[in-house]
Amino acid sequence: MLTLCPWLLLGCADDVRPEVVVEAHRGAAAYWSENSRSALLGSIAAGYEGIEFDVVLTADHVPVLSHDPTVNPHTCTTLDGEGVPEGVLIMDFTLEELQDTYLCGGIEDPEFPDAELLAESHMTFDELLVALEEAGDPRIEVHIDVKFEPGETPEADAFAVSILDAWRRAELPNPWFVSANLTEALEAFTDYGYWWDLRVPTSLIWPRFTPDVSSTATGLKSEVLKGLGLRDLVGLAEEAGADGIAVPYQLVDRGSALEAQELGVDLRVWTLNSPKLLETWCTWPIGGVITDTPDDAPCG
Amino acid sequence: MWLTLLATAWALPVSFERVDLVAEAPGTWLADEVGMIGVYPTGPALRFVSQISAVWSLPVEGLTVQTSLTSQNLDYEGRLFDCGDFRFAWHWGLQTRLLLPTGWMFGLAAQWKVVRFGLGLSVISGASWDHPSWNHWRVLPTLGLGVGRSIAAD
Repeated sequence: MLTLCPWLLLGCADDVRPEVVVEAHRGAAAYWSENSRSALLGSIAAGYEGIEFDVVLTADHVPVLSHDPTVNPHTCTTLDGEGVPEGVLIMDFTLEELQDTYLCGGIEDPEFPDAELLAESHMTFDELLVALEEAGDPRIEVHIDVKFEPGETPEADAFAVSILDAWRRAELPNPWFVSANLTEALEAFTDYGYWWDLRVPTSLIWPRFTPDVSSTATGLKSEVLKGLGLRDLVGLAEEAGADGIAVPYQLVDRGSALEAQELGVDLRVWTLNSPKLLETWCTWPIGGVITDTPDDAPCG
Repeated sequence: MWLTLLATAWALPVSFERVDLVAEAPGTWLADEVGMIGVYPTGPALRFVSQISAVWSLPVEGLTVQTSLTSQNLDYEGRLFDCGDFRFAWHWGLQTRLLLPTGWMFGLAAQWKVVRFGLGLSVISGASWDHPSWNHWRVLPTLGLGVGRSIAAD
């Protein structure tokens, strides 16, 4: 297809696209502590069009909501209120042990000082599915971000089995997709979905940020590789066998967005946390925006 | 084949011609990035730097190679006429990304002393080595601003 963009005639100005899905990032982390029970229940009650959350596995392979494979020392404490050291792996605890040891969400996040604080045990994926069923809103899109990290979590297969089995049993009508920053995890979901006759929509998270490399260095490297054409959003999604790709807004350009749309690749952009960013990207030809402040998004 | 072409190009006697501060190829900076300056200035700034193009003349009269991070192009300029201090030319060229053909460009150029102005069209695909497909095309109007030696042949 041919796209004409006569900027001399100011023809590239777009209106807000209602079809751009607004996803509440980590359950709208600006309003409630990230990935907390309060956040996800609040987001569902608020009727946000999409909810995004992160999942890791306990020792007994129960999916729980957490952005990191470790108990978050910045948001969690012990039941006695003591701090949590760095590097406490969630996979070293059964669900019962985890919930009997730690409470999360009771500490203020300096990035979101207005977020509601409530110290709670880790929410399970099963709890979330029950909440969705009770809400009975088939419009809410469910974005499951799988935090598979080799050596710090159980294997990718274990994620796929636990999460897909729970999703399959819940029989929810909601649109959904699974994302991960490692192709291995997406492949596991696709393969196990095939076994269960379940089509699993997938999205690649790119680039992969790791603790040992600064996010600026990773971003710059990704920008250069993209500029040279050695990395391409559509190419990355195709290589991963994914239906879509989720990319930080800093690495998205309009040409890539147009091409992704044209070729049917679902492009999601994160994390848009100001009204100006949201106003802009809500006019782009993308599948969705991921934001901690969904109330500020003019689209969806 | 591309390695042969690259080796051939390497062996050719080339000379530095000019710097295009606003390059006509691929033309996406003006089309996509300028409007984003007020939203996220870092991105347009980085992409501005990456589109700045060094232009090298080849032994064939009027033939140049334009090299930037995002685009490497072969361009031919033909002289049209002179008008006072202005010298006018037409040009067309093949756009590549690391020698993968990605599109075409053509337009008019005017040289005033060491400053070159360009106006044209860029017909550009999204093809890259990571995704070598030519399914999606855009036609972008382009403006060019360069500093350096005169266009075409003296």
